[in-house]
Amino acid sequence: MITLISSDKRKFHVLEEVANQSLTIRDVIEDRRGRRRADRIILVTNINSKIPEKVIVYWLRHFLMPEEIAHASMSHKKAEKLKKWEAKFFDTDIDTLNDLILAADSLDIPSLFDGACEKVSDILKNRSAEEVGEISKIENEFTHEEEEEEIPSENAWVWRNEFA
Amino acid sequence: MGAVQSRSVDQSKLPQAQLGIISSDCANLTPYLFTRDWSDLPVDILSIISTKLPILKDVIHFRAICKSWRSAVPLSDPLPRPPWIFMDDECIPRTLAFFSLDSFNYCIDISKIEGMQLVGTTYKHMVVLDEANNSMFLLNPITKKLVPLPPFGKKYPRVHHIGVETIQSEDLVVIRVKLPHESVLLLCRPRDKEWRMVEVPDVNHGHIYYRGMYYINNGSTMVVDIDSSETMSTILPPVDMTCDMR
Repeated sequence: MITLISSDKRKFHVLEEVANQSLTIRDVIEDRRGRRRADRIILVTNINSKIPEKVIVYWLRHFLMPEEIAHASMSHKKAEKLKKWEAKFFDTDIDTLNDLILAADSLDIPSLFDGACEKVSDILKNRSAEEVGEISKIENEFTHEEEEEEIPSENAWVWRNEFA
Repeated sequence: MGAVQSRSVDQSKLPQAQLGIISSDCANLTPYLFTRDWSDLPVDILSIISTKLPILKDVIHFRAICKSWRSAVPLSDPLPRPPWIFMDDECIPRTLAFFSLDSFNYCIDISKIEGMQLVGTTYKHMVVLDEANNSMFLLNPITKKLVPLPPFGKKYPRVHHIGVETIQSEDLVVIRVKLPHESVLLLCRPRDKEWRMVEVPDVNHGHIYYRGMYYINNGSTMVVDIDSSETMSTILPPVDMTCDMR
């Protein structure tokens, strides 16, 4: 069992085999193998405090069905079930997705990283230019020149030709 | 591909362009408001997200979200997307229309190369011949940037577009120039000072350049090494095919 400590000082006790899905954690455990018990405590303070629970839920679900096994021998039905579960897991608000991506990146959890990026691209896919404008609530930081010339000229030909 | 010209347009024939697709969950975009945090994402992560967008239109929209997203995904080196098929039906003047396997029709403004000849494509660019100045360019169809290719020099004072054929190749610009008594391949990378010239046999059936080798089908297939200009091997067609051909 190892202990993860989050940025808000909460402790999470996780089976080593489960936490191993994070390649970063796996390497840390490997480095500290054979040392004192205190070394089985790992700080994960660089990830948003809401995220450890989500990550652990994801680990547990995948631990029950490791991907290597998943590809080789998982039945079609089970694969469908996992897919549905993942869809639900990633169906979350966009800020959580952002945190998940950053956490998966720093903890090096490839499938979580990939799934979250995939979800973001799904949100952006097949939008009209107006919709993209609407979901982008980032302060407009394009210079006047860019906005007036470059962007419209780049976009003009796509907008004009969205024949149904 | 034909000459690029402006044409008069019959307005009634223009497709009724619809401005934007209204997706079904249009009304409910609230959970998807991208805020400041998103512009702080590392460039490599942004670029990974963009590679998951299969359609060029979505990539262009992606780039319009904010400045850091825009710089994370340069259009100068676009990623492979579904291929575009050239439509020989210029309904809007000074544009080229394409049908894409992503089921969109794309229309590209080519007023910048008016008067030049489109002679072919590489994987990412279009190859344009300016006959008046006897020079060639690569055109990035999205950014409209023209990259000059090396000059033809004295050996080919007038390269006519009919004699020029571009050959699809990933790493190089390869064109075949057919002259009255010889055929040559001209090869270069976009920033080279001059073309490399290789004399090659005439083609009857088909030919292709792939990673330093030039394959010519004249019944049997000759493999020419571009570095040494030597024929490395000749591959005979299967026996039953030769029988058929006789």
